[in-house]
Amino acid sequence: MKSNVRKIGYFLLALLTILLLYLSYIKLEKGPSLAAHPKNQRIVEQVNKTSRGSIFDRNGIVLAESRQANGQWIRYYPWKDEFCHLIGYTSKKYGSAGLEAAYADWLLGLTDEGKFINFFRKALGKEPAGQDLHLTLDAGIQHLAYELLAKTGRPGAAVVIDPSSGAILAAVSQPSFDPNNLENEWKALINNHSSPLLNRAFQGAYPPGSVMKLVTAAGALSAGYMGNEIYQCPGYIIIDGYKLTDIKPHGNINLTDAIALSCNTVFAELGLNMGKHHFVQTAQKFAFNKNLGLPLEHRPSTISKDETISRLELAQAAIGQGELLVSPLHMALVASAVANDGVMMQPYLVQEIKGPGEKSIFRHKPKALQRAATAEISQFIRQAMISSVERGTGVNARIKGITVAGKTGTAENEHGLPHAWFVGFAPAQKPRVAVAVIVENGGSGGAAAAPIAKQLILEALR
Amino acid sequence: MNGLKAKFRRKERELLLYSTLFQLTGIIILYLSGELQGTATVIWAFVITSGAALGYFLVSHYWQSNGYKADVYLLPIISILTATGLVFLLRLHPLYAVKQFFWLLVALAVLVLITTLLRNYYLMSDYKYIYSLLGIVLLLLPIFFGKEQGGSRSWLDFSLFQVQTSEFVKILLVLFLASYLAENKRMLSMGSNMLFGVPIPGVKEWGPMAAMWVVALILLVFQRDLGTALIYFCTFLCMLYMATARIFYVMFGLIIFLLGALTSYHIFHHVRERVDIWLNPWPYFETSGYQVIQSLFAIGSGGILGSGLGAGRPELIPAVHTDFIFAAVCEEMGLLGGLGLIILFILFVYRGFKTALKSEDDFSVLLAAGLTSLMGLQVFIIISGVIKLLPLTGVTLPYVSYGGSSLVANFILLGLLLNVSHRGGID
Repeated sequence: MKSNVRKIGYFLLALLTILLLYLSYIKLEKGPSLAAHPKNQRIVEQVNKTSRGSIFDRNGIVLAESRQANGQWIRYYPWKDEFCHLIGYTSKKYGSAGLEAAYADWLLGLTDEGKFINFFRKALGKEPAGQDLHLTLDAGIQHLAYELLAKTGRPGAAVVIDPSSGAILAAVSQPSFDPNNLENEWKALINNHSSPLLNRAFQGAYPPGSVMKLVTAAGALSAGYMGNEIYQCPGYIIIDGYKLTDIKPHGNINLTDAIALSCNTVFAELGLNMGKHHFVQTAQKFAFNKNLGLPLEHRPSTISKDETISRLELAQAAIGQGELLVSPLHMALVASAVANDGVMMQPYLVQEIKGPGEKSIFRHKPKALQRAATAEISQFIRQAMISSVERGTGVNARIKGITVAGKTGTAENEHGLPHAWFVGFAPAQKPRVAVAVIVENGGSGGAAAAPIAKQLILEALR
Repeated sequence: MNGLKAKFRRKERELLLYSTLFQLTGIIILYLSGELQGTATVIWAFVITSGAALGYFLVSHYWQSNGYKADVYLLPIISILTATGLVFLLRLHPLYAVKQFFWLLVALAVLVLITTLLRNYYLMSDYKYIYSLLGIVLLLLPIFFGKEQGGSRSWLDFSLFQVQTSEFVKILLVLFLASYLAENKRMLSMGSNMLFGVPIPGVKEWGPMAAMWVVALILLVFQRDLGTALIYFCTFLCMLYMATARIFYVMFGLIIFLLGALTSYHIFHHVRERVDIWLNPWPYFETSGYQVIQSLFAIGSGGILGSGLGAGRPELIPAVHTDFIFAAVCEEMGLLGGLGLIILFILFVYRGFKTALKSEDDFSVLLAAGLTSLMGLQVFIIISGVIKLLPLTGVTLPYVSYGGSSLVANFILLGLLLNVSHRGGID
């Protein structure tokens, strides 16, 4: 009988051991999401009691703060609709978005560090407090970008980046909304056909147009072209019976001038010669089909990996039309990569997180996303981009006393006039700022986007 | 000889010192964090702590003085469990803590009585039919004269206090089964008929099984006490297997259990509800799923180290002081506190089975193993309900939850187990 007793004993000990394991599983695996569950009364109480942390720009200018009114915390955004897509909003009714959502745990002091701080605050009889976000944004540049885009009267976006670190200095999307007034305007906002809630700078999906030629050029140079070859441009190219027209006949032309003058014929030919495989590979080195590692929602730029596409489609992709869609943020990173000797830095918005009493809790360390091209190839493309601004399609971005490197894009689309693109950086040999500007249906990139980019560069270098 | 004995129970008092320190630390934390509101509560907190400690030490001294040789680890384990319960009750509901303290004193007195008067417990095997009769009467009483509480009709109201008879019947059940099985185990172990080479017992043999099934059903149908029914039935199966080693009984038992479970799932609304909540409580957030979701919130919010005593919000869980006290421990003492509590029960079960295995006669073995199985099963059933491993069936967490009947009954169980270990001799 004793052996049966022993068996039942083991059985019961096993049952209780299952409890040990399952409790650990619940605590460790499910615990964090249960603790942060919106219906968890602890969170609701914490949120109502906590003064949500403030959000500052790089110079300490307030972008969002909590103010007390009638015993309740109210979120206040002094810049109204100028930062709306980045800062986002927080509403009991409609949830939260942007940095307010992505950094909610920090802002509400719900991270481990935050809980630790609030534990001591409670012991001292103080109310719980969240942490402050110090962003990379520059309110001056952001404000200017907002005004310049608003003046066009068209939807669009602009992104300004420090190419050596990936710090985002400004990112504007038009049309926008005022987060102070969100709950009243919500219905109108979600019914608006031009989607003011959409962050075009990060989530927009546009054909890149001739801006893509920077990537195609890098592909050709890494495929063995020297850059001094002379091409013939009769003003069109015929591929499998289809005629792809150019702006004008460029005659005898080298690669530098093909970039500066944005010659379609040359790039269609280069695309065909390097082949689909190498073209897609180069694009992926430039972070196509790749998450950019930003905690805000953003759309990775897409390029079809389909190996069976026709020669015509490949030629079109090489000049930025057809099966590829990019975001303004990504195009700013492409320009940054060229500016930064071929290394693409990971973009970021939050420079530092500080607890109550200015104590630093987190500080961003710049890191490379990946190498897009060699330093030599980047140098070649940089020179061609300088030419583009000095004597090519980008002359409207020329600045007296500062060498600007740039590339225009005029992207055909189904909705009317082409989208106007400009990407660039300055000072060309020691870049401190890179920009990407798009004006939807704005016409030619040189005419509609380059002047905006010029103003932004001037403001950033001021 | 006297010196050896003194040394022997000194271990017990050393360990009791730790549990006293544990409880003292608990109430000091509560005091410092301002959770003990009012001077009266603070005084009660210290009275309860010193009173409980004094009670346990006196019991240990008393045992030493009259040469009681029972296991020295069980009482300290239990004292940490009751200390945890008292600290959490002080934090959740000070009035209940005071009541529970008085019940603890009653329970300790009952423990002294049992370990004194029933030290020759093996004589108890002669009265099995009294146990069954008494058990059935006690089970039926609340159905006719009882009071409904928390959805189950299992309480007898004595105006000053209420008694949940099923807590005491579970001990009668083990006593009855231990004596019945010790006497009839040979007969039960041998099948009279063979079917496909498998021995099949006759009517006389499966009769008790059917009777037991009926008892569980009475609990389930008339008292609507799912958890207790489950504990009774599983204890019965465990003891039957230990006595006979026949897997047939277990299989047959499981089959009729499943049949009963399926039927009651279809017939009884409250059973179906429990199962649905277990599968997915979220659609019932506002209604019947509220309790278990609040329990999960509490457990999840506690993290590894817990929010600290008094710093959590376990009072958001309905019935947290009884069935859900484990969730409160998990919130405020964290994963480590929860694991610690389960480990204490594991140690209890380990000591219990060690006692059983050291005993010589069948009745002693079955009694010790049966009581320990009962304890282990009850702990498993309530904790797995609270952490949503199994459907929730409201029973108390032994020694920790608020409840006088539960506390006194579990101390009777402890006393009987200690008596068996006393007879088995010193480790």
